[in-house]
Order: sequence, then C-alpha cells, then structure tokens
Amino acid sequence: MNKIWLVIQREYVIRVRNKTFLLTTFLTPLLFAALFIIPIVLMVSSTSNKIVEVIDEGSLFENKLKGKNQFIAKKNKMSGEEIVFEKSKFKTLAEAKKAFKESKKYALLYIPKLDIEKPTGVQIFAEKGLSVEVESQITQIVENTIEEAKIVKFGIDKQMLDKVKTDLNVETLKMTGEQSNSALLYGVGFGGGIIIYMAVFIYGAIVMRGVVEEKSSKIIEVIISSVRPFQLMMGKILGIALVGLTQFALWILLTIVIVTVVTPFLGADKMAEQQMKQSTEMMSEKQAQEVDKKTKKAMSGIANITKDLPITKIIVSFVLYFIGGYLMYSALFAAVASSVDTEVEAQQFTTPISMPLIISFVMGQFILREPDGAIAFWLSMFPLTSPVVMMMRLPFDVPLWQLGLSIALLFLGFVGSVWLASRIYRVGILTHGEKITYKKLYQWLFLKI
Amino acid sequence: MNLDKNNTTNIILEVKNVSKMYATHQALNDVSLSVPKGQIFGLLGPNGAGKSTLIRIITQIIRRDSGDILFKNNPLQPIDAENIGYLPEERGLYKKMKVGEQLLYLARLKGLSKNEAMNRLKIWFEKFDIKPWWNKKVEDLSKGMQQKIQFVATVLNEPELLILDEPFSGFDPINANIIKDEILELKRKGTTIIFSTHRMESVEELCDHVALIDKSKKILDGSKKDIKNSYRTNVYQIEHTTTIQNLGDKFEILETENVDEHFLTYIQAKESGLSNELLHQLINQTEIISFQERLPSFNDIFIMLVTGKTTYKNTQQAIQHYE
Repeated sequence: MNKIWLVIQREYVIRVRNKTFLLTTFLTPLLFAALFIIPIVLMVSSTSNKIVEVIDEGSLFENKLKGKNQFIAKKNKMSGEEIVFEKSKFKTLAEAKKAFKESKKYALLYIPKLDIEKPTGVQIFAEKGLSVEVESQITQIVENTIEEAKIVKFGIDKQMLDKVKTDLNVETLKMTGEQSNSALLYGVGFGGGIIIYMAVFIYGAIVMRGVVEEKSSKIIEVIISSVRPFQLMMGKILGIALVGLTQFALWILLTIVIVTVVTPFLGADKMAEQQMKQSTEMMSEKQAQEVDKKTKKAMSGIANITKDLPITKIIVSFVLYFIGGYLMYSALFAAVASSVDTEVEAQQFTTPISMPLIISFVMGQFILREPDGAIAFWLSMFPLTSPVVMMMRLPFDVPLWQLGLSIALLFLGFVGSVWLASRIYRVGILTHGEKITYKKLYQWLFLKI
Repeated sequence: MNLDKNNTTNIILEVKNVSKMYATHQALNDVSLSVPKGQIFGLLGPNGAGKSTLIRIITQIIRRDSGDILFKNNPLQPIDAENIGYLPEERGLYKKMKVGEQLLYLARLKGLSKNEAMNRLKIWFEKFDIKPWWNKKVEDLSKGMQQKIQFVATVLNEPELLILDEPFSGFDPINANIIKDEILELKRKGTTIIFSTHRMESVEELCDHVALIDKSKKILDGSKKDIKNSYRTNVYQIEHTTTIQNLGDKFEILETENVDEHFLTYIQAKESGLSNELLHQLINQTEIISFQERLPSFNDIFIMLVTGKTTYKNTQQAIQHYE
C-alpha cells in the first residue's frame, strides 16, 4: 500500500510540475473567461448605431418620426446595436444614391409611393450588402408600418385589434409542478456528456503514454522488481486521475476568479444597464412594461436553473462517472500500451477499444431527443457507454434506481476491466518486439506467470 | 553437485527443483542451486537457456510453476524484494526525470526512508564524483553515465543479495573497471552477488562459484576451483625446436603444428601428475622453448558442455560465436 502511494505521488508530481500542464491549466480558464467577457466587451464598445437613410416618397413614415427626423426602430439584444431610421434630405433616389457613398450611413431604404394593398418596389441599398438579420429587421419594420396604414384605411378599431392579438407563452412543467426549460436541459446534458467523453480520452491517452514510456525506456523491469505490476499500473492510473481532478478544479476556480475580477473592472455591468434604460425610455410605455415583464421572467428563469436541474445529483454523478469511466478505460489503455513497443502501435489498438465511447457520443442526439427511450436506457446501463450517456440523460431527471444501478454496473465494469488489464499488463510489460494480436492478448489473460 | 546440506547457515539463497513452463516451451526444468553467502556466484549459459527466467523468479517478477525458493533459510516472501538488488539486462531510467529525484524514488520503492536514501545518495555522488548531475535530466547524460546511475540505484539500499544481469554491457573499459571494483568492494562488505553473464573472462576474474544452465537445465554447478580441476584434460602444450618421436604408453601426441620455425605440439597424458615425467622424456629429444599444461578456461568448459565439442586449443573463435 505504501508503495502504491509512492507510485501515485511520482505520477502526480511529475505531471503537475510539467510545463504543458501548467500552460494548459492556466491558459484554458483564460479562454473560458474570454468566452464570457468578449461579448460584454463587444457590447460596451460598439456604441455606433446603424443609420438607415429613408427616402419616403409616399410619406409612409411621416407620422412615426420623432425629434429630428429620426426614430429608433430596433435594438439588437445581443450587441446592443440600434437601427436608426433617418429621413433623407434628398427627394429622389438618384440624388440620395450619389450622396450616400460619401455618408457613413449603413443603408439606404427606398420606399416609393405605395399602393398599400399591393406594396411593391421597396428597395434597400447598402455599400457591402446587409446581414440577413438586419435585412429582416428592416423588412419587418416596413411591413408593420404598412399594416398600421391599412388598419387606418380599412377603419379597423385599433383597440379591438389589440384585444384580438393573442400572446401565448406555453410553460413546460413537470408533473411535480416544477418549471422545466428543455433547451437548458439539452445544453447541460450535452455539455456533461462531452466533458466526460473528452476527459476519458485525454487522461486515458496520458496513461497510455506513461506505460509505453516505461516500457520503451526499459525501466519497467527495475521497477517491478520492487513493486508488483498491479501496484504500478494502479498507481499510475490513480496518480493521473488526481492530475485530471486537479486540472478540473483549477479550471473552474480560475475561470470564476477571472470572470469576477475582470468583469467589474471593465464596467460592463453599468454600461449595459444604462443602455437598457435608454432604450426603454424611447419605447412606448406599454412596450416598456412588456420588456420589463420579459426581463423579469428571464431573470427568474436563470434563478430557476438550480430548481430546474437536479444540480447536486449532476455534480455528484459527474465526479462518479468521470472517475468510473476514466478508471475503466485507462485500465484498458494501460493493458494495450503494455503489450506494444511504441505509441503508434498503441494508438492503433486503442481505437477499437474506445469504440463504445465514440458510439455513445455519436448517439448523443438520439439520446437527448428521447432521454427516457429504450436506447438511452440500455446505453446508460452498459458500463462502457454509461458515463457519457447517463450524463446526457441526467438533466432530464433519471429515476434514482436507474442511476444507482448504472453506477453499480459501472463499478463492476471498472473492477472487471482492471482485472482484465492487469492480467494482460503483467505479461505485456515483459514482452518485447512481438507482433501483438487480439488473439494473443486473449491468451495472455489465462497465462500463468 | 550441491554444497554440503548441513552447512545451511552459509547459504543465502536456495533454489529447489524449480520448473517454469511458458505457453509453448519449458523455460526451466527442475533447477536446483545453492548460493553461498558472501560469494560471487556466476550464473552462466547461452542466450535463451533460462538464466533470465530464473532471475525473474528469484526477484519475484514472475512465478514458478513448481519448486521452492529459500532466502536466508525461509521461503521467499514479497518483502524480501527489499533485500534483493536487481540490475536487469534490459535496463533504463525515466528519461525526463531528474537524476537525484529518480534515485530517491527508486530507493524509496525499495523501502528506504527519504532521509536515509538522501544520506546514502550523497555518499555515492561524492564517491563517483557526480554531484553536478543531481538536477540533470537522465536524457542529458551519456549512456555510460546513465549506467553508473543505474548501478547506484541497484546498490543504494545495500541489499544482502545482489543480482547483476550482464552488468558490464554498455560500459566502456574505464567505467567497467570502476564497476568491477565496486562489485569486489561490495563482496568484501559481505554482499552476495549473483552474476549472470556469457562473458567468460569476467567469470574467471570475479566468480567464486559457478552454475551453468543450458536448455532450461542446470548442467554444472560448483566452486570455480573444483570445476577447473574436474575438467582438467591433462593436455600439455609444448613449443620446441625439433620433432618429437615416440613417448611411450603414458602419453599420446595429439597434434603438431609448425609455428615460426618452431613446432607446437599438444600431448595428452593418460593421468594427471605426469608433467615431470613428460618433461624428462622431452628433454632427451628436443630443445624446449615453452611448456605448459592447458588448463581449461571457462570458455572451454562452457563450449564443451554446451556443444559437446572437446577442445584443447585456443578457443577464441568459439568465444566469438557465443558473444
């Protein structure tokens, strides 16, 4: 026991001190943090609004103007950009087009005198072409304006029409009455699955390389004259597992630290708040109320995540499935690595072994679409696929007995794979320059040594 | 040809009827050995004879199918690994690890405490004058230097039994001499050394006791002196100026060669202790330039036993075949 601890220590220390480890550990949170911070920075910095010059031959927009020939039409929620319509100084399209090149305006909207029942001939000109998003926004605004004109023309009671309009927001609820947000669940499930998948591969590959290194540098026989092969293998696997857990913990911690330290420093909070205020001011009171309602709902939605998701269950299961899945696969990787002489050979052998893992990842979409279906159920019970598949299913609230059974099976799978691996490992590490086949590996299982 | 069984206190390791079968071939067949305490025990044999298998069984890397092994008169236990040092033929170090750290790790795996290992390492680093290497990575050292580190790693825990498998391979002559002196020094301090090799000149020089394994069986075992005596061929090699005629019943001329205007003749005596009589006869016939009994070298014995060819001549060619 004392010796396995020495092996764990060496495997851990040697890797944690390694430059690559330090680099990836400290750079990755920067990357994560950047994912949070960059959108905020962009939002703060892009205060320039898009100005659309309007030639309104039919005076369609006449009664919508506010202040100096301008009105804010639409605000982009993501970037905080606004599209501002501005009445053109020019009377004809030709004149405006000439002048447009000089101006730094975003687009030129031409609305001819319209037959509002059959509106045609509306054109948008832009220097570079418009993004689909902006184009549809502009189209929407013109459409709305025409609709309003029609309402007036046909003598429809505006208030009546508003009453007819129905805004239904269907809430998905679980039978227990809790609120459910399927997009969020989907995201968390997919994220959990992907992290387990990558972690098993990344740290499994480290185990594989470690074993090949010991064999190719020929230190192996020196070591196993003082340590049992099983101790060496388990020490290596556990040591690297600790490296992985350390790295995860540091990533989470550092990302949180960076985000909380950097965000206020940029003053992004205040800016965003101010902008929000400005834009609501410009809207009608009713609109403003609606926005307010929606914001509140969104806010409560975020607060509800914890209520929505079985968070504790997910975190505890993540740790269990990471450890279980990693131990199981890395033991198999170690076995394969022990039987070959080079890393290249080892990789050839690991591909078939990691097939179940790849399949469970590829099947992800089906599983997320039907998290309680038969495929999802069985794949989340089978130890070689359960780490990824169960992580995907978990946000959709898996019955406790299924979770328990799956973890128990995973534990059995882990014990089995370690047994299998240690049988192959003890023969493999002493074998040099042999051509390895699966048949031979199978024979080694039952070889007395 | 085992040593006196009653004298068990002087036996550090006893291998009794050990057999080992691999999937398709018998690696060891009923091998028994007794390694006397404080001696250098040569374990000889051609490649693939089973030497390495036997060593791996003694170091408990692999298990025996049958037979017993006694270490210090008790059945071999896993804990005994801490008292048995092993330098394998296939040896290496962690290339990316620093020398000092690595030695510390290997010593602690052998059961030394951190402090004790540190103290001993300091002594060895001074002795070999390699202090500046402490923080170097192994891959930055030359092969000879790495071998030295490896040797230190093997002996650091001062095991009572040291097993060296081809210890000199990879050493240049200067470093080989340093290691040879260290081996003799360890022997003086009471360490028993099992020395596996197929290089006979180092056997002649270092070993007190020799066992020969061929085709998974032990075919010879005994003290160096006894073996040499029992394989005495009573062949004499004489360099002389004129031809030799009839020498009577007791002697037989095996061969005569012409060498540099001299003759070189090999004569077989029918029994031992006849050298003076032979000399008398020869003096009457010719002028003798040199006269010597051809004592068999271990090379000769080795080749004779393994190939079945008796040889009384210089066996340099045959040695090359085996190296």
